[in-house]
Amino acid sequence: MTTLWAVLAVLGAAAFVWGLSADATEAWSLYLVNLVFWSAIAATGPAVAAMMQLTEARWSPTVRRLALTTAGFLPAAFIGLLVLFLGRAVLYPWVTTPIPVKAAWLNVPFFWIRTLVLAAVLFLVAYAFISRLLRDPVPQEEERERVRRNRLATILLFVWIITLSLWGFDLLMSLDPKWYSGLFGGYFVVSSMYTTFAMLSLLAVWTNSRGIPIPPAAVQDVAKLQFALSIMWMYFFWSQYLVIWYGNVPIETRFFVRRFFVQPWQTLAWVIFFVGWLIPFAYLLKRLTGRPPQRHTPLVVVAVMGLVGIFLERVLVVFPTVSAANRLPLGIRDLLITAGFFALFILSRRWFMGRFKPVLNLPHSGAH
Amino acid sequence: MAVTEPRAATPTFGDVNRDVVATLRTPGNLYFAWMCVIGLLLAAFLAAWTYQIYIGMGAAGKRAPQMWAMYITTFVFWIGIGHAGTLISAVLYLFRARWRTSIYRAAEAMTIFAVMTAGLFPLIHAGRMWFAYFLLPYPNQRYLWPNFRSPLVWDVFAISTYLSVSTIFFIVGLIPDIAALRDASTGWRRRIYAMLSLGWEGSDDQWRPYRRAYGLFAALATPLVLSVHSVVSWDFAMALVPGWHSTLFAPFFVDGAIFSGFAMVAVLVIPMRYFFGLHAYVTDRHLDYMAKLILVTGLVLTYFYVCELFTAWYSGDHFEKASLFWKVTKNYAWALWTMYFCNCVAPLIFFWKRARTSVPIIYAVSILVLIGMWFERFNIIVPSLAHGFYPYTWGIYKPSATDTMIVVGSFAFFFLLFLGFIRVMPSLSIVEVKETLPPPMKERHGHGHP
Repeated sequence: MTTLWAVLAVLGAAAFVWGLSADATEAWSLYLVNLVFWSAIAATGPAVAAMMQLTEARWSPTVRRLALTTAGFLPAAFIGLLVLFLGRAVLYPWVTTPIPVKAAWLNVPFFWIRTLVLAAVLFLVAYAFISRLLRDPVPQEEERERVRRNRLATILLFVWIITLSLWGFDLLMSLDPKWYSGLFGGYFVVSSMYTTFAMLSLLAVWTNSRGIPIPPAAVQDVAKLQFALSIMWMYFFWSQYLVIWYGNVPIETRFFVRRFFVQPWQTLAWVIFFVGWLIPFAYLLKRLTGRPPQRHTPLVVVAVMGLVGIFLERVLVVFPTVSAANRLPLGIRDLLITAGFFALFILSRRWFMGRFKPVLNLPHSGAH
Repeated sequence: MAVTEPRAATPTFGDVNRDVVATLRTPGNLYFAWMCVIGLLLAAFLAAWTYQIYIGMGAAGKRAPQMWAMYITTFVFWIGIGHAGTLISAVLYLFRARWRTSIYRAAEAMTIFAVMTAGLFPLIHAGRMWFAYFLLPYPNQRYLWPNFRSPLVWDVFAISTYLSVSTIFFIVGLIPDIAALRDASTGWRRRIYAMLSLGWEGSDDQWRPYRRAYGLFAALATPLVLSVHSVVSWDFAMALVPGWHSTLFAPFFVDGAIFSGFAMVAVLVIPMRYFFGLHAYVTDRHLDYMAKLILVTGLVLTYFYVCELFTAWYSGDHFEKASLFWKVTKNYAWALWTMYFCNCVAPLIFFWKRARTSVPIIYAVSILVLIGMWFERFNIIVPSLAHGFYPYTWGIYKPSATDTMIVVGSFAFFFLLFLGFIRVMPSLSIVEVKETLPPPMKERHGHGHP
């Protein structure tokens, strides 16, 4: 199976190289979409575990460890950011045409130094936290160990929120350097948390199917958090949209005019709304009002819909700004690039499991 | 008010009944002294309001462009305070955070009284308060409906919905406790409590639908935590005034509201713990958790402040940058820096565990947070309006004795309601506190009943 994923990853890389010669703008755009999408999940997994550590969450030690496993992609993400440097002139117009009033922030050396340094610090702290959390057989109740873990978790959360906010502001918002929204960094953080909880739902169900028991109540709790974050995502979107629509200032509205009134982006926006939010919201609302179900197939479906929805949302943010052509990236080359990233994510998670060998079969106290 | 000796050991079911009923005994002199102070402040508040109605809004220092000034500042402040109650009672209930049981009743009461206090300000600020019903969508022969595109009208709907749901949620939570008071009282008190307890007997047939209804109200109230203050924030963000028109405002206001609400909960609960001897129920662990929540919401608020400053600069908009520069350096800079210190720096002390369990430190920081959050609303409203697009619209606001007295009086109004409440209703949930205790054992004779 590993060989299959490796082949797919290589095919994805080849498709990207092919794309650079055929349509560099589209290839780099899709590369950026994939990079921020998968890297954000990879970075947010350990952050979720850190939140569970600090809030003394005891509802599922297995879920906490599963959250750590997304970090396998972090080294690949760092290399991905280095590669992105090569596409800077294609993606970011301020590289070739500097904007004097923003030059103190949007200039090549400072932009890449802060992006790479923050990513490196985040990834190092994440691995330090992971090593500490997976250090067995140190009893978790030991006070000194708990304090150390809490300290690392706090540092990790600080670095995580700063880094992801800047990914939102820098890697995405500065694609159109004239447009701005103060909430965009926070919006990127919240939407990444939504994808991470959707991913955790999938991982929990998959782990269950591999014979490692996770109680239905714990799966239900992950579903609840996925539900809560889906609402937060829509709330953060709406908080920006309503203010910009009502204000009707051209420099702000142009972002939405292009995406909501020009095809095919308009259709894509509605697809994102239904697939990424409305259907998962409706199902999860129904699921959460009853007893935790034993069957998880519908949860898997809505988790995948949540992931696909946010992936498409990243496409909607990047493509209409970077590419003048109003064309969805649905060609074979585009699909191969995305499949390549997906395969890389699977492979890196497998590497993580082999390297750290986290024990997932942990006793559930049932304490809620 | 006599100080009750703290009970150190884990209380039993009987202790809970006894301790909570004890909070309703005839209060001591200190209580009446406080009530006298409150009465005096309220008299001054009414005198100032009457004077303003007689003279006009100019008596309150209202001159263009400063027509909102302290009234709307204090209105938003009180709405914000009203947030933590719903958060503690509904959101923490849904998250099964059992530590909420000791503080949620006081927090819920605080919510309702804070929203009622906030509700005074649109009336005061309207000037001719007898026309306040113009805000409501009533049909009339001249078709003068309110402007539904105005966020001020959204406020009416959002806040009245919030008050309705919070009040129902509060009353539903009180029913079993009122029944317990009914059983423990005699005479006319018993008759009143019997009427208010709506025939509650504590049978299985009553508990089952009760629990369902409580969960339902918790789920209904949770979105309101987000919606109310978001709508209040849009009173500002929808306008194009430099310093107001920002996509950040909705979550920024919600977080600030929760932050100040928790601070007010600490300000109310800590004296209650001391005077009623509730140390066994409001423990150091509760204070620790409250301090942590103040710290986290304070950090999130700091994040929003940084984003706000960054965006004002990054936008490249001359007016935004000019407004920001003016705020940071000119007439009201002292208010801005006070806000940053109180909201961003002071809560950082809670990184130390010793500070999180020190009552004086928690109390001092909570008061600083309340001051900081009042100034936050002041800084949004007054300096932004003082330095708008055109120099001819610029204008400095100076508080008058009238509006200062009305603002101070609003605090008296709030504390009158709260101090009155804790004398007639249980300020600690008897039922939910018992749920967190070990059930009584047969061998523990003389210690209460299930």
